[in-house]
Amino acid sequence: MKKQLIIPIFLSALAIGACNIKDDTKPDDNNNSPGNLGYTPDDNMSTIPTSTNVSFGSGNLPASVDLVPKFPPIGDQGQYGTCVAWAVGYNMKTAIEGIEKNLSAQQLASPNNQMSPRDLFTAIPDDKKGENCNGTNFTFALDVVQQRGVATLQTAPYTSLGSCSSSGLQSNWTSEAGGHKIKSYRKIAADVNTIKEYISKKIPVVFGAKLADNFMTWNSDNVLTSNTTYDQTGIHAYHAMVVGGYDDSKGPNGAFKVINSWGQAWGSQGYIWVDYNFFVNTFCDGGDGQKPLFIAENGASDDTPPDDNPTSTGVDLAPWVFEDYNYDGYNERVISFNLYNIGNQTASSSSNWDLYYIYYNAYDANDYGIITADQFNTSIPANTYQEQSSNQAIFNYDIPSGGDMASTVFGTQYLQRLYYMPQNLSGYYYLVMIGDANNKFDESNEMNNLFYTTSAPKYFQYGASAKGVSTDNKFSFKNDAAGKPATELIRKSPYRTAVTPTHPNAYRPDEIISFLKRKNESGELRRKIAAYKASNPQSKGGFLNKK
Amino acid sequence: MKSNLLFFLLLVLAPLASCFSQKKPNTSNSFSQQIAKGEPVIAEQKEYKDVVSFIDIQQSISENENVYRQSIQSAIVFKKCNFRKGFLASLNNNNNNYFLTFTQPVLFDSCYFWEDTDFRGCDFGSSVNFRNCMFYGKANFEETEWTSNVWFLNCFFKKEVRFQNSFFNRKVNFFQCVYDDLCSFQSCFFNQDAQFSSVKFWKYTDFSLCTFNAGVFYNYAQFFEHTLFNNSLFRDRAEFINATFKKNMEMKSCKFFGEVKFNKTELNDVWDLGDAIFYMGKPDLPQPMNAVVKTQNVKYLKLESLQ
Repeated sequence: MKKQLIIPIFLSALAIGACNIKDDTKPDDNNNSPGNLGYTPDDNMSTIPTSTNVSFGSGNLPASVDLVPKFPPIGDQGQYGTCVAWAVGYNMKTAIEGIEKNLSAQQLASPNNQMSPRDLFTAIPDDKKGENCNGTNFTFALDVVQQRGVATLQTAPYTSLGSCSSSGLQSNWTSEAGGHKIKSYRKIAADVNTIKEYISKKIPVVFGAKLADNFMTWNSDNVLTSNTTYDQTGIHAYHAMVVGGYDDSKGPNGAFKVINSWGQAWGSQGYIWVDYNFFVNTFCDGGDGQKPLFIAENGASDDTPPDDNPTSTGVDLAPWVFEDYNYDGYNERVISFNLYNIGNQTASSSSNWDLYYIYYNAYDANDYGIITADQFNTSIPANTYQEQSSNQAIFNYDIPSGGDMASTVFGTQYLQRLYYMPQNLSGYYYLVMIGDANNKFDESNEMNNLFYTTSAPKYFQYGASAKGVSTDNKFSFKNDAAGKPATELIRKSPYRTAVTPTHPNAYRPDEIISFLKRKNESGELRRKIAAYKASNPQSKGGFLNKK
Repeated sequence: MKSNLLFFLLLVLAPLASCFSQKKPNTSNSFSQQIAKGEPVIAEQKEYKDVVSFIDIQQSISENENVYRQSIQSAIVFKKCNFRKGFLASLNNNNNNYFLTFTQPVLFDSCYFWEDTDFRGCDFGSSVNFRNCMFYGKANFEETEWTSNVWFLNCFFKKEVRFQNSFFNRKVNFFQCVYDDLCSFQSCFFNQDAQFSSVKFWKYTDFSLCTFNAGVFYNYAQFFEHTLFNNSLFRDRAEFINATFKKNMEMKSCKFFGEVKFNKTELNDVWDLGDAIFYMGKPDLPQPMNAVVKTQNVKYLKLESLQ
């Protein structure tokens, strides 16, 4: 009896037009990647930054959210392995652009407002996708949307795809694509509440899934709660789709509404409900235990310092590092730095503001910590300072408008500190000095609060910039500018951001600032400093050129 | 001469014996030898403190991509046994799935499964009987194939029970079972009569996308939470006599080809029959009707009128 199901299931699978499913009994010259519906599950998830912008475990989520009206109509990838381009371009990018512009359903139905999966897939370099429109991964597609953008279906209709070679790109596609970019993309946790939280914030989630037989022939709005193990066509396939909604009352545990790209004849008018738990435990699958889930922020990325404000009103604190180098021992370092107030008001210590030098994991900013923490407050007598450890001090000094910390405190041009890198630092990190780290001043320009001593992720091992690591990955900083910098240079310094042409998807300064604000508001930052202070009592080191 | 021959044999056979001994089955407990010989596995009033598993990776044969199957030729009989750490007749190991085929009858009588049981993907070639068993862990029977008759009489399922995508070729009997947690038979195929009479379904229950090729009986069954029969095909009798549905019950897009009985059925909340088709005409609906009945696009046909 069960065998009688084979033929209709097989025929159904073919009828869907799911692209390039390999049939073991027939050679298929067009398919160089077996079981490919278009998602090649080889994203290097460990090098994609994790989103930091969700308060995990929020208990105030609505019981259901439906973002489907914010999406274009169900698309159909046809027989091509272009599902990633459909998920990332046509569905996600169209939706986030439509949400930003508050487009109506009617407007979203116009190809003028729909991003072209043909343009996106064609724009992916040939060495990063399968031949004859046969698959790619999320990273390659998202990189294109971030760096080049994607044209609309009006300009690049989904017809006559040919071989999808990038040599087929047309100049008018590329010129239009520049107006449709994303700032960045981030991976998110494979967790029900996390996904729900993004959806509730109108942020669609793109993901990779491993499909079984029953998915191929789904034709109802029932909730998918399991995979069939046996695949009648002999292959399990990886596919890209988008989460466009959720409903706690669907199915046994609640379900996500998934948007596919197989036309309206499949599933429930082109959609499928997938049980929450089944989704995160089994369905979402990128091979080797990976859970490929991504979000993106709309808008053009910007690898130039965002600081373009010619005047600074109020307090405007801008740290400046001249040098940071390994001194002696494996984690002993010296940093020469200053902090300028380029605003038109005094930065008073009575405002209880802080100056931190922090590290954060290049691919997960939630892994962050304090290197040095200096506090400006009135807990000590005026015009004095107190070193609490090599890495921490309290200052009771007011930094006047146009003044700086070094001359105010020590009467020097810079401060020089011997400090110790935390020994638990192992992995790839960015280091950044942050003025007004606890956000006490309402600054018109917060971007120059940051000074990055790392233009690329640097490798550390137990706090040491590891021996044997290539020069590019070893941490040592020397500022190109010598001497006291001009105010204009301080404002527009390239050291304000980690986003560079070689690392366009690094955490942006505004992300880091927002992240630290939340950590400060929650009290976590203070707890980290307190814990750090407890674990680093007064020892050798500290300011070397103090008066 | 004799000693030379003996020595020669030792030289030849010793390494061979070593090779065979290296190929040790990893079936747990004392069953491996009996199973290897095809002898019945019989145990009564035994306590198993470790996980009981019949999976022997080395005896498994590749059946499909990442799927391996092992054939158990022994009859399996456990009476009044306690499985403290669960029972595994299915294994996922490094993305490879290992399943079992039981060619002989299987009986679990009055057994206690204190942790999860996993029979996913099992093929039962002969009769299977889980009578009076207590499942205190999750019970996974997904994608099982039951060639002969099946009994789950008077079983208690404390946690989630999964039968999705299973195929029941002969009669199946869940009489007087209790499902204390969510229960799913989604996409199951019942080729002969399916008996769910007097069953208690305490949580979310899913019979959507099922095919009932013969009669299905939910007489005196009680459903305490949301229950789904959406998109199911009832090719023969479907009886819900004296059944109780305390919460929403959905029969959207169901097709009833045989006689359907809702005599004295208690319905509450909402009964959704949207897009359902009754090929034997409109059934008698229970009175009084406490539920709000949704009948959008319901069709009541008579088969003879189609001829």
